[in-house]
Amino acid sequence: MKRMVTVFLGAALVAGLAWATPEDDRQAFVEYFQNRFPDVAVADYINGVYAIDPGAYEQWVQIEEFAPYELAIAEGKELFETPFANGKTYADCFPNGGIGIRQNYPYFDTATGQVKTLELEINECREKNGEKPLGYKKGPIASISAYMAFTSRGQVLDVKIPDDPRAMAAYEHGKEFYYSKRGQLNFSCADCHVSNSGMMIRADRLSPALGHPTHFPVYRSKWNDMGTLHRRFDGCNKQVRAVPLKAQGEEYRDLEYFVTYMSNGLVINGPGARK
Amino acid sequence: MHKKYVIAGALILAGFQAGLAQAADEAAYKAACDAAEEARKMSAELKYEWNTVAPLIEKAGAAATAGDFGKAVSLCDEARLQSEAAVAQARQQADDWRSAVVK
Ligand code: HEC
Repeated sequence: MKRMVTVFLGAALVAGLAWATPEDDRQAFVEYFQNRFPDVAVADYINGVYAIDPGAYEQWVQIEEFAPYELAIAEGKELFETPFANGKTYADCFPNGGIGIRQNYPYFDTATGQVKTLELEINECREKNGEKPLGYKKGPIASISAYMAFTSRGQVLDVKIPDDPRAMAAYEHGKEFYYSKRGQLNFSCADCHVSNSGMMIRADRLSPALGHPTHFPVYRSKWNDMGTLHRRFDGCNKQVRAVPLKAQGEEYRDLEYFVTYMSNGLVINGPGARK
Repeated sequence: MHKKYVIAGALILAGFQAGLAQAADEAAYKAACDAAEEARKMSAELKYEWNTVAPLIEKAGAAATAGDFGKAVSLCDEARLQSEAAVAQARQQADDWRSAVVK
């Protein structure tokens, strides 16, 4: 009996040592897509579905020339620079005055033990300065986020998971969300954007998960509007007939933490235009 | 004269019975929809609610208002079954998701 326990503990220890680190996860993720789409350069995954669909790519390049998100960038810049009632601006809340910092989000905030996204901090900045928070899925927050992404184009995504068990737990929580089947249709994010990426679902080709967060927020023709990453999560949850969770709630923030970590090393090219 | 009383009595009795039947149907509707609502809440607590459930419960309410308790019961039964499936899905995924991770 005692020996069995020892053997069991030993096995658990080995399993524990063999547990994948986030970096192992990321490398396996990138490798998976390299094997699945051997002709696609890793750097091109920032282009979403257009990276794997040459026909649609040509059309999309044309759309990007008269980019439908230009207005949002201009509006976002104006909102970003307009002082609050107390005279402060967004620039006062962010490192480097909020310019060229998109690639560092989301990050784990050891002070609060929470994952902080860019949109969450935009609202925290407003509230700190006596302004009402904005809705998280579209409207002014998408414009401000679009402007901040625009000033960060070309910067390399660099999401960090600090040596803090709470940060690791948030990452694992996001990973669990990504791989868990949900809704009446019983699909996980990974079912569509990993193992069926490149396949058609009704009129859409499923984009690979790698590179997903680099170009958000996006102008989406179907919305006729800008939307944040959490607006997209919301839509993808509904597609499988699940009730979506709260934008910027813990689940979606942790999900963003995992998804964005998987795209570390790719460059920011937001905002983007999508079908 | 006599006959009139008999008819009136029969009508009252019939009405009474219909009333009883309605009360029974209404109680069945309440029980079915309370159970559905409870199951829905449990799935929502697990963050696994299906978006097909609330519309079923809503339709059941409309059917009940229109007096069609039979239809209301079957709609709520369906809502409960779906919510129970969602709860089972949550429990299963808590174990299964790891095997889906890209390695
Ligand atoms: C039933 C399949 C399906 C599931 C499940 C699904 N999605 Fe999607 N998703 C789509 C489709 C279709 C689109 C639009 C075409 C595309 O870009 O893939 C899309 C688009 C996206 C985009 C935008 C891609 C871009 O380049 O702009 C993101 C991000 C995304 N999904 C994330 C997720 C996440 C996170 C989950 C899990 C919560 C998820 N999806 C679950 C089908 C799905």
